[in-house]
Amino acid sequence: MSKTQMDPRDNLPLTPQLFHVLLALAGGELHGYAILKDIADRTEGQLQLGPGTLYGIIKRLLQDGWIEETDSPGGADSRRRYYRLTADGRKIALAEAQRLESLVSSARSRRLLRPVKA
Amino acid sequence: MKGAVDLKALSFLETSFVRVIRHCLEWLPFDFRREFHADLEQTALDEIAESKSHRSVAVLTRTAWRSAVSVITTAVHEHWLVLLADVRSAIARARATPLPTAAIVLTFTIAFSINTVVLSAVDRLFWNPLPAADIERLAFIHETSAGLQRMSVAYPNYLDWRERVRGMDAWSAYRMVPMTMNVGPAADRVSVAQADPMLLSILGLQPLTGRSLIPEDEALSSFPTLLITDSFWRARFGRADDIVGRAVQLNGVSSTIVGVVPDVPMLLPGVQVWTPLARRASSLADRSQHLGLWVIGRLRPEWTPEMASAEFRQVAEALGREHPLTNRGNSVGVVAMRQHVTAETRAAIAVLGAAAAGVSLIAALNVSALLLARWQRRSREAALRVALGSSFGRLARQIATESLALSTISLVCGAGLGYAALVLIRWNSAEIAEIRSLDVGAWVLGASFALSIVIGLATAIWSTRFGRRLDLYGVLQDPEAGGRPTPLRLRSWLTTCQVALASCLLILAGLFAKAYLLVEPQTSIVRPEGLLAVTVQTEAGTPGRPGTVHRIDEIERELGSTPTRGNLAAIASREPHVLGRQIAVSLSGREEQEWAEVASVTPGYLRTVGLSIRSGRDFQLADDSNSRPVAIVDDVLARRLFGGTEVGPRSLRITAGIKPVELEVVGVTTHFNASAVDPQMGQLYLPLTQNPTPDLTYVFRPQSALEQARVDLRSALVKSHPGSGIGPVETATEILNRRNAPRVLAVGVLGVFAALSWVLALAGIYGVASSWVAGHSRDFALRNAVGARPRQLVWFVWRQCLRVTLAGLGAGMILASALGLLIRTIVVDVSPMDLTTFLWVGGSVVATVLAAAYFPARQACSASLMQLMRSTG
Repeated sequence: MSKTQMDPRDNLPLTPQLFHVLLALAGGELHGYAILKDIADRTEGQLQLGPGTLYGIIKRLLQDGWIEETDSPGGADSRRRYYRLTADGRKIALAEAQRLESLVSSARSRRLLRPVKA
Repeated sequence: MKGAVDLKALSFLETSFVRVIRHCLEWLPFDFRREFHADLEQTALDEIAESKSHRSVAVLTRTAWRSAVSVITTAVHEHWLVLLADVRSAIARARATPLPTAAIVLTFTIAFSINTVVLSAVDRLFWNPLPAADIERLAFIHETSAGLQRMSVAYPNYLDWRERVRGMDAWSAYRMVPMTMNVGPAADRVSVAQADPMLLSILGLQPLTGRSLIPEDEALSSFPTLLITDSFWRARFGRADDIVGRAVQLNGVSSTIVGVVPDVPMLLPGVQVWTPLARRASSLADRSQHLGLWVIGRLRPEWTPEMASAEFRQVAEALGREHPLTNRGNSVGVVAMRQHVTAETRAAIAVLGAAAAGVSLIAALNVSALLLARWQRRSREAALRVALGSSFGRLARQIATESLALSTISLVCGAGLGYAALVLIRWNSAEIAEIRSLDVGAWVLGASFALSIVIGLATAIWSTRFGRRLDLYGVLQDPEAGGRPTPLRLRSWLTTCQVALASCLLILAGLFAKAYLLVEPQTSIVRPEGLLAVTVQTEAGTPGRPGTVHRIDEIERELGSTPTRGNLAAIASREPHVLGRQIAVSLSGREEQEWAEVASVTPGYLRTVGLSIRSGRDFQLADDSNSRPVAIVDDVLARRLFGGTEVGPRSLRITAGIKPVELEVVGVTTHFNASAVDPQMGQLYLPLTQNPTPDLTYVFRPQSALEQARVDLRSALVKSHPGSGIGPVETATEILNRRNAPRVLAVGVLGVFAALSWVLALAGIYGVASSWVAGHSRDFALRNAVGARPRQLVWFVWRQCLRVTLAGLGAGMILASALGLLIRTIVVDVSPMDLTTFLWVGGSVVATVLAAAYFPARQACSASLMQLMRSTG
């Protein structure tokens, strides 16, 4: 896949919704509803994607090769489709996380945020 | 119990929300739906089920709302992405196949440019013929009498109607009269509308500068005022800024120009000046005189023309009882204003509209054929995509997008080309006021856009009918044929339709051209070549006053001092041979009446214009106001009244006004097709000295050079009619050309449409021939290899094309015959089944088809078996 040849940073910054979907899948393979739940839980309800929006993002991620469909894990609902990160997707999620981390570091250095306690 | 009820309500809500979301899911693009529908639906249902567990209507509603909105938003976004992909694909395909793309765009452009022109004409001449906003409420009102369907209104009758008819909330009357306007030393003959000031507001005419006419202008005590029209302002005064307040003399009366108003060519063609009618009311007071006065009324909101008509009839009957001498047997006609002002243009608009629709249809058929050819080339790809699971809807959508993109590009080009054509037509026909006012408005652009969408979609739907029948096996077996369907047969059928429509348009254009350009000019004036005509107004020109006196002796005396010699005569008319008035005529002692057109002429007039005396004599100088009234009839009227063309001792009785007049018939002349109303209406000539009228046209047939005679006649007229309004000295041919200009324009436009449609049809035939030759390349190569002669192969190709052409030509001729019957009323001089026109068109069609098919036929002659075997491996 030609995407693997790309520098992940070329695709940054990601939209918050897209990054949250990648973040949800970074924890393992999930189906659509589980992704929604994960995002809602992690953001304490501040970001609530609709199912249409979610599958629009999933379609784009599948086309770009950042995620792929996988077989249902044992014991899971076989009617649902599960997705997981590809190597490219993981790299891009990592690159975005690092970009955000560097932003946060900058904010700390300017004392916008408190330093992390050791 | 309360909890149970809540649960029930929640379940009901849940079911409803699920139904709504399922409905929303259907809005997603097909491919997206096929990929994610089940999963998306399950996720949405999970969300709703989870929110239901909170047992809160608010939470459930919020969740369902969020889901539905997100699905709809995604649907819009995904459709947009699909559209962008299709447009990109269409652009790529256009770049890959520039020639077919250019052919499609050119074809559509031609159709849209024609539609832009025709829609502009429809908009101006039919939908918005007047500036009045409430044209549907306006009515044109006239009188009728036994045998005369339309008669102008007697002014006292008009005043009575205003008092007694309740169906109108606004009234106005007007008439058009020629007058002489003196601006400084120069005198012009101008066409004047004498009207109630209310007419301007009824018609929605706002002054371009200055003010409009007001009721105070009608008072005899006030200083005479007048308005001039926009075109007259430009032509006579060079659009001078200081026009308001200028003093002019109108028929010798000092008047002031108080404003400039737009032209109203559809109602008042040629009007240059407006004056108040009431100033002339005293000269109109005779109830027996119908002096060209017409009435326009505005119906009350709840009234229809039929209701008003019924009321008018009652009032007319009452007036008939009150004034039996003048009004008995008279009635009133109420015509809807749109119907009145579009009466003459409606047929022409219908023909032009049909022609434009025909060209559009040919363009759509042509583009369908071109798209089919594309399909044929892409059939393998399309069949594979369908076989691999791509939806047919997706393919159809791609074709539709491509077709719409091409038609939208063509619309822009077509609208531009149409506007340019309109500018050209306006420039070329500046003397036709109706044409001068044509413009491309927002309505026209909107309609053209809608048309482009309809044609684009129709073309796509038509083309995809072929794609629906694709099958992989067929395509793989014979990619040239494109599978089971046979596009060549379909294209042949489409081309047959194009040939039929184009032939029909060519025949109609031929009929119009023959009628308007060949036949009618020859019949409008008997011998137009070498005849000069000039209109003069010698006196005040008030109808009812025996004003105009010809001065032939004086003019001939003036001409005597020049080298110019010839026959000089005069007719009481504004043109050299327009009789104009119709009157009832009967043989003395008999009741049966005939209607005839009448004109007053001087001795020698008939000979000068080219008419001969079949029996009896011409008028003489002795036929003056002191002698017995005499008349000359044409042979048509003579046969109807006397049963023959010999004069004999006959007396006629004519009914004009209150008192019948007895006339002695002194001669019979040849009939002449002068009437626009009825070419077979009989004609009656009276001596001018016994029947003076305000309009006078001199006709002069010089024996010397025409140009010198024109100059000499003008100077002789200036000397013999000092201070009079003398029109330009024109040749009869120039007058005919001016009169014929709108018809020449109509024939020209129709001819261009027909020619364009034929070019499009020829392109279709060429395409069919090329495809047929390409599809039979093996066959031709084999025939060449075994020694077939080129002539045989050319004939072989021609035969195929002729089959399509003759079928289309036959259908086109049948269609043209049917339409010809419908246009009989506007093409009166030529039979709708005119054999010459049909043969000319048929011959031209076959000849051009053979020429177009010759080039593919030459390709067939050069097909080589060796090349073919190399190319196919």
